[in-house]
Amino acid sequence: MPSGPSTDNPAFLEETTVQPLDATRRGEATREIDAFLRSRIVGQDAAVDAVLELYQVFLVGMSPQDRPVGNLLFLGPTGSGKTYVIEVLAEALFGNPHAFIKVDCAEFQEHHEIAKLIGSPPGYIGHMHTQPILTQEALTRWHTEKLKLTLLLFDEVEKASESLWQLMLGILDKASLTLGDNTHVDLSQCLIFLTSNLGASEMSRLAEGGLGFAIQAPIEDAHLDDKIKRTATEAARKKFSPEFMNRLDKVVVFNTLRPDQLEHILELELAKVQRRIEGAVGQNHFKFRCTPEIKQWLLREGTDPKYGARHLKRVIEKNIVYGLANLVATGQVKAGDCVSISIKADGGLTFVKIAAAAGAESAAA
Amino acid sequence: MKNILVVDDNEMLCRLACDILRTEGYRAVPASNAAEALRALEEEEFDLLVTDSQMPGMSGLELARAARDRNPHFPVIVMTAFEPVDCEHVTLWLPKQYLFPNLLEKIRYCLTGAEQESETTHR
Repeated sequence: MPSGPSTDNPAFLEETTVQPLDATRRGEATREIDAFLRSRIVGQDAAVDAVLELYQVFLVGMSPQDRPVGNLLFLGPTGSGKTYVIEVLAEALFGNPHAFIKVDCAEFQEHHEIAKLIGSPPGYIGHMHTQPILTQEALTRWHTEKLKLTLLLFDEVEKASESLWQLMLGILDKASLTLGDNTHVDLSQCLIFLTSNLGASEMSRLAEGGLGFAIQAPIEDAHLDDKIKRTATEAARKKFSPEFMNRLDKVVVFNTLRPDQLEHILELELAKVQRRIEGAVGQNHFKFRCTPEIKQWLLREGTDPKYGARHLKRVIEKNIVYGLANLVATGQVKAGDCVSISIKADGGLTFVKIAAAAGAESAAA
Repeated sequence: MKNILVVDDNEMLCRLACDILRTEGYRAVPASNAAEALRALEEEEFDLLVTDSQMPGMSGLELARAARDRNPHFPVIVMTAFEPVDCEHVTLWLPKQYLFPNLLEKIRYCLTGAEQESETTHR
């Protein structure tokens, strides 16, 4: 009988060196993505953590076989950044915020509309003419040598038709799909996101008596986050079948954002405009800065109790970017200038050019 | 995705305008002079030309004429810092001091008009 080392052998234990391990530490590649996501996503740490956990498992090749890399359900009010998280992830992974496939479930409310997704079966009108959205080519479009991962988003899942539900159940469970022409599509390298704003009104009532993230003082409650999560998860359980909920790796509830977080988002958006100017015009760029008053005005105009921060980008585009572009068009701003933007008492915006030396200091500040 | 050629010798404006058009969902290609624009028109299909009126060498109006010689229905928007002049080759004029958001409105108008005209022709 062979005699090997045994754990109940006291001599063996004496010889063994016990080294504590840290199972929470992430690899370097994941840490880079982590830093990128957290520098751009404000107030949604749970969503970032959920994404990173699945990404880390994928990177080391330990994702389950014959299943998608992960199935995540994002719940939260409109404008809380559910789709934005996926855009930032796409930018971090592939350098392009649009490097993901989006299936807008509201477009598939009728039974027959499923043909847009998988193509018409042979014999039906439109066969060979309806280009399916979910082909193997479409899934691998953004793959690189190093990263063979696809981000797939089913937006507003609560609006999906019964046929789309059945299709999604198959995808979430077996990572496979059969197209109208009988072609098999493998989705085992997909990280699947599903978004829904179910329970948004109840969540907002809990948080601050309004929808989305209104800028009122939040109710002081140590368990508020837990209550909001419970409310959202309950709303999802009522609407979605147990088969569906069981196929999810994680349900993430997006927080309603506090005023300081909204201010942080505004700063990020303004920094993005400066980067856009630099990216668009290269070395010959100019700088701009906004006074605290205009920042408060942008927050008031760009955040809405019903639609959250959805309008913030649009308000910045219309008031800041268009204004700067008009100054460039009329030769009032040139390379190296610094423009200060403030607001007048009557609500109109003023653009002032700061002298070159002072401008450089202000921009640096 | 609609393809727009933007021509202006003010490189900063040209690139910034392209960037704004891209955020609006268009594909925008910059050109810093008429010769570059003509090359782009040779190589690629565009849905609309947006050009500055006064440029060194070939002017925006001459470029508009050249574009219309290739396609008589080709929509052309000319941006100008001066008084617009009557020209059959220009679909719309746009004063530069009110460039945005007017340019986006005019682009939508031109592209929708072009589509309707194309539909009418096909019928």
